[in-house]
Amino acid sequence: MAESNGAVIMWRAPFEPAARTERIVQAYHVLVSFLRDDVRLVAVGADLDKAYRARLQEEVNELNLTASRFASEGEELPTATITLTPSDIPEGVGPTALAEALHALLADRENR
Amino acid sequence: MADTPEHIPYDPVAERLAQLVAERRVDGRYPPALDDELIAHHDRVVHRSPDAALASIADARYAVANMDPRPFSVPSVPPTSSKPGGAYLHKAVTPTVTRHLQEVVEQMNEFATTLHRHLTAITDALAALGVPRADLTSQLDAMEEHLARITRSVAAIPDSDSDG
Repeated sequence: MAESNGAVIMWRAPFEPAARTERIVQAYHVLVSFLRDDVRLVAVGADLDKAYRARLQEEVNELNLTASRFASEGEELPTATITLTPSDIPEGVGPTALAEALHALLADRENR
Repeated sequence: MADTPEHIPYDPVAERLAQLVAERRVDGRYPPALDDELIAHHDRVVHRSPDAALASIADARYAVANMDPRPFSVPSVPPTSSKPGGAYLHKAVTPTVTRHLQEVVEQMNEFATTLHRHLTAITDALAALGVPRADLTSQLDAMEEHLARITRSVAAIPDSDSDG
């Protein structure tokens, strides 16, 4: 299933419910579980809602997404293959369709 | 009219994604209700009794247990003074002031003792309510996920009636 090493999805959004970071977490779960398992997810943003961030971390732990990481602004970050923000994710797209989009987008960037 | 299906703009990317997802479902790569399960899982995590709240209850319980239920006392003021005659005045006034203060301190200590008893009861009750709820929530989560797996397995079994 692995296609290349070191692909990184960088999610840039504050940790608050309005950013709906769970959508990228769910899509990432589908991506690494069913499409390719060599991708890391790095979510980076200001800690505006610590409880929300804690819940997300709980969700990530329960989904066993070991190659994902929540970082704060100013931390050293890996080079992103693709960088996404909440406005990049259209409404009404479910986790599997979003995972397919990420899969295609990563392949496109890596083949350039 | 803008909301009717025929006016939704044609989006070839969205259509292609939906088609890919549908194909992978047919291939069996994606479990049938994967999207719904992920969204339901998130909802369960979000509405779960927060560990942080349970930790706060434990902190409060510990703090209450370590509180002195009779924390007030009359301070001891040394009968010395830099003013002429000040020490004599201190010695003369201190017993009277102390007696009055002692009464006030006693009332405050009685109030503190009552308050401490009630706080102990409240934090004990919160702790007793919170822990089983957290346990129960995780058990329900586990059962719900187990049930979802069974449902998926049952859905994957071919219908024998339609075959024969």
